[in-house]
Amino acid sequence: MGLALALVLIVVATTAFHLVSPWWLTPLASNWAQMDDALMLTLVITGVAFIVINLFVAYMLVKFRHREGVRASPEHGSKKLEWWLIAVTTAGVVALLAPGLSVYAKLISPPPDAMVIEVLGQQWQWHFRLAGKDGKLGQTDISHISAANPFGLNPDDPNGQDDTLVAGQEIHMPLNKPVKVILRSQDVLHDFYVPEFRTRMNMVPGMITSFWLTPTKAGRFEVLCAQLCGVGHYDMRSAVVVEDEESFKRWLAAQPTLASLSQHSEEGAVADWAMSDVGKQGRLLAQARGCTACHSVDGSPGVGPSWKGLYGKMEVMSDGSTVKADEAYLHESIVSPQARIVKGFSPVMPPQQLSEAEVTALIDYIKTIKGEVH
Amino acid sequence: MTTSYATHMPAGDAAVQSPAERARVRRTGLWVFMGVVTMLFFLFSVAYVMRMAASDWRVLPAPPWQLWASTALLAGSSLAWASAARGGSAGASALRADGTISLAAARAASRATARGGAEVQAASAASNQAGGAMLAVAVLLSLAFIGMQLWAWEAMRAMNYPLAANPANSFFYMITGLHGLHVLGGLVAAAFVWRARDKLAVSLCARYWHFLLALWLAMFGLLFLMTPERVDIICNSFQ
Amino acid sequence: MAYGSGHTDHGSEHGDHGPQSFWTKYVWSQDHKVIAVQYSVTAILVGLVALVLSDLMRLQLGFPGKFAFIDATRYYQFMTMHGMIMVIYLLTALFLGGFGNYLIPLMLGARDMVFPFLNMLSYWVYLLAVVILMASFFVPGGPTGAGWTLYPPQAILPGTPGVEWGIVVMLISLAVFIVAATMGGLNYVTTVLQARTRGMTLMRMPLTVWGIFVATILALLAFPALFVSAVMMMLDKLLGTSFFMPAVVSMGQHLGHSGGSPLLFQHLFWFFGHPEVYIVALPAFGIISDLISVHARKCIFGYRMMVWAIVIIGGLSFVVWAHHMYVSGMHPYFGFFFATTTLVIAVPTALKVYNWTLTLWRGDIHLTVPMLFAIGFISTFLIGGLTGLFLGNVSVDIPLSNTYFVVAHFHMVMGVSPVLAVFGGIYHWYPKVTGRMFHEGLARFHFWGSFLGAYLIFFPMHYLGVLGMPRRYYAYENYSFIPDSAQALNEYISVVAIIVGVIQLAFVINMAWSAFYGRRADPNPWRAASLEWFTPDTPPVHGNWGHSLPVVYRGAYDYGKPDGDSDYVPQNVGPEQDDSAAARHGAARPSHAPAEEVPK
Repeated sequence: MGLALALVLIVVATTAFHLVSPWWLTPLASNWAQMDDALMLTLVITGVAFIVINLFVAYMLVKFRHREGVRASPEHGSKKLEWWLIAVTTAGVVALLAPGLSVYAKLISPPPDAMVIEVLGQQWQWHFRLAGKDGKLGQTDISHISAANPFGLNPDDPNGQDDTLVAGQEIHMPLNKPVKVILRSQDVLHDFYVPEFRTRMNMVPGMITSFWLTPTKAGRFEVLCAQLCGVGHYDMRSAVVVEDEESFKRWLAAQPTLASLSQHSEEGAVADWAMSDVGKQGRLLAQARGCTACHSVDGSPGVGPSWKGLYGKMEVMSDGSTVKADEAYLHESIVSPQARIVKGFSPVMPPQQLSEAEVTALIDYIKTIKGEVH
Repeated sequence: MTTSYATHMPAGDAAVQSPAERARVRRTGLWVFMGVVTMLFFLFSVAYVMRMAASDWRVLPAPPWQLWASTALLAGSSLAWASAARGGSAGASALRADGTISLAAARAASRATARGGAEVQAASAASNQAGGAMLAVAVLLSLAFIGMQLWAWEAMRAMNYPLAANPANSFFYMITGLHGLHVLGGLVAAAFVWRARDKLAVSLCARYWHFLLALWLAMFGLLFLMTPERVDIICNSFQ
Repeated sequence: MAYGSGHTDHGSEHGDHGPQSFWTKYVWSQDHKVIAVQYSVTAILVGLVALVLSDLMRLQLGFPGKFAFIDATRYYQFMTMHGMIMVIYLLTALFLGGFGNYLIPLMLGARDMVFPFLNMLSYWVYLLAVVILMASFFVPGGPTGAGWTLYPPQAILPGTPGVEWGIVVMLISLAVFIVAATMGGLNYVTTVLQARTRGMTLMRMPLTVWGIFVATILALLAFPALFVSAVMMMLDKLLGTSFFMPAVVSMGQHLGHSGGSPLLFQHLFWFFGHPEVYIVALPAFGIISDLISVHARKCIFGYRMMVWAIVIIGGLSFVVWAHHMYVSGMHPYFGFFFATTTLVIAVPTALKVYNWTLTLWRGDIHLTVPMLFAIGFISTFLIGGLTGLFLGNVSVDIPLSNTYFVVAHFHMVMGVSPVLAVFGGIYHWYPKVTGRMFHEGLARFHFWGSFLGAYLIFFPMHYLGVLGMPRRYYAYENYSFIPDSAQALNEYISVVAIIVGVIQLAFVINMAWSAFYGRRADPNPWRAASLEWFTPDTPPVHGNWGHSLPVVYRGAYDYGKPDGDSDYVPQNVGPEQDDSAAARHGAARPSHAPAEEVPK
């Protein structure tokens, strides 16, 4: 009896939960409403099955509970009923599969005129690239990747000279225009996942993968890495900004190209930024370059030592020696992170491709993050 | 009141399986095991063929002579095992239903024919010995096979085809290495056979060795005959 | 007359020399029953370790940052070890090595497995695999944190915990486990094929045996794929080969690998991984069929179809693997094929659910502890299987892949329902194995806590997945699309999970205590018809059957007899002794009409 009641309760509670749950699909921001429809259809069919079978079992637990003097039926089964049930189930399966596969056929067929955006994944940050005026992305190869050439562009390929190499961890897309996102990775598997877009794909080193969508809502959407890529996986963030055509063009024009970067290789991108508050550009840089993926500013434990109260602190290194975290130490830690490792941390920090001005900005920022006053 | 229905049935209630049943069981066990090993090497082969599709594939060179020699050694070992399994045919009267040889019966049989059958006695003893000798030959040839495979590895390295240089190399060492491990495993089983002098076990070993030979020929062919072009032809023929 | 298990004819007369010393009887035993208990105890102990690891994970997810010792590195290590232990070292070992070893010979009327020495070896090699795995907690760098799926390149690159030693130890442990599983598997398959007693045809075997038999065939054919992957990954890690490793720049370093394919690993891994989930599920299916049948006193509905369903599911399980790879970047056309096969496999699976349910129809349902778990299985497997339809349909899967929807699905369908089947099976056969009854109240408490707790934990989790919360995240701070309420939900889930974890102690205590102090049990307390309940001794002794092997005359599901003293006929009862058959040829009474006197 109790069990029958429990099953009924489960049906009621789960249905109620579904109806009141604040946790459901994020508002759709792309053209893939059909994927949501397929989901809803699946929910309805499976929901009905769940409710019916649970209630049926509950009913039988009561109706056919053991009673004195009553025995079970000696029947062995019914081929007819079984085949009928198989037929119904097959129909249900077809009802699910048909719309699902037809959406899938569209998903894998990007329109030929889609704008191409390239995303390059790296532990634990994102790089974005767009083709320049020639509409062609320059050739890349992993062998060209270096501190100065994070995209691995082939320097001899003229198509790559006008490629837009987005500064920072934010990519823009124009509203209502189909976009084909092509994906590369330089180290491990990643996944470019924006829940509001619905479609996404893994990024595989050694391969180029892709997906496509048409953004239909303006706004700023978070990008999450959705394929385990090491200890920084949960903090590998960036954002997609969807905006009207004009704003997009303005943003694009402000982004550096390969050609312009090689001219300004000394100053890097910092020269373009306003130098206002002390530590501000360092903070922006730290966020843009993914430093905060591993180094917290509030003292919470992370992959790397927290920056809170770091400047001036006595740090214990892995070999037992103690070092004062002064400017020279911070400089070395940023530029040659493998030189000395703080005790209790793994030697996983990649060397950073930063100009001297940028390193100074970062150190200035770190100096502003005070620890507790003792 | 308890009544037992099942425990007093006559016939078919032997406490242990009959020797014929036991023989069937052991044969089945070996077939299942060979099925598992086949699956293992099938999967390696699939991985090999899939990997071939990559652009950096460099075909292996012509096989060094050591590999031809080791193939001969393994084939010889297979023949020796077959011969060992057949050995002792003159002592058929001493052969039990389960395939074990009763030395006592063999002696009794030969004593009975001693008056006119000294040759028979000698023949049956000789063929028992021949069986044992063939077993030793088979084991030695298998050990020689392993040695020759290691020499082949050395030869490949000397020809500048070390393990990690390119994927085809890696597959070569890995597949031949695992095949060799399965031969070694068989040799461990053969050691038990030597002690037990169990005729069925000898014939099971022979079967396993034929399997190892077939497996080796398949892997040898895969490594040195299969090229990306041939894979394309085969795959295209399905379209 | 009532059917009993026979007189206590001690098995020592049967001419077989049983083990004599403590060591040969309980430690180096070749007796399948002892080996089964060894497997089960080891698996459950290591499963408790994995349970604690999951509670540690939940502490971090529910109360992020509050437990300083659970940093990101440790979190990923706990996560990996939890998954690997649960899937392989607990569930596979328990269903095949535990249930399989104990029940197969007894249910088939055999004295033991056909290769007892190999059987014994398989346990000790399994134990070695467990020890090696546990050693990874103590090696420099700790265990691998690559996720139980161990995807390259990250599994062997810096940035993932355990990359120095942990991953190597894990791969070695897996290889050793596969050797053990092969040794055991040889036994189970050959015993089923060759050692059935007279009259026990394949189509008279209980579904428990069918489930374990087909699962074992799957294991023998699927584990080689894991072995292949492990060997190749080990070569990539230790010797610099490039089976799976493309050219990469890792932490600023250009590494020497080139040309390898991470997708090759995924294909190989899931070629193993998908059959693996059926290796876990099929024995559970078989056990549930038997539990429902016995405790509802009714023949399993559609035995033949149930057998075919098990076989077809087993076969199809080899052609659905890439539904784990819809967003992997594999060729898009594969998506069509695998979505189709995956939804096709839903049909025989659904049929099994229907048949379990229909077995209850017009049954005589006793809500014993095993029956509670069996019903709990139906409900939780139902939802677990249904959410599989979301994930199997490629376009519905794409937004849900790698989110908490997947976590909720596989926990329901692998972690909850098969575990409920394990518990149900253990309670069901407990009186047979120990000769004693478990404590009823504690067992019911264990059921309710686990069943309701599982729903409370995993049902809401689906919704977090639909929202888009990715899995394998150490923390979710400062993601604006995730409302604060989701964090509150995480906290609630963690609290319930820890409570349910503690409730499992009730099971452990019950099993241990009742083995010594439980009420002595009737040899066949559930009045079951299958052969294992009719050994001359309870618990069965070495050799199982006393002087003579049993003979089988019918299937294992002759329940619901309308006439005669008893409502069932055991498998080893011939037609002459079956009084209900005689009555049936006369005026048969309809079922569900009261009989004159029906003793229990």
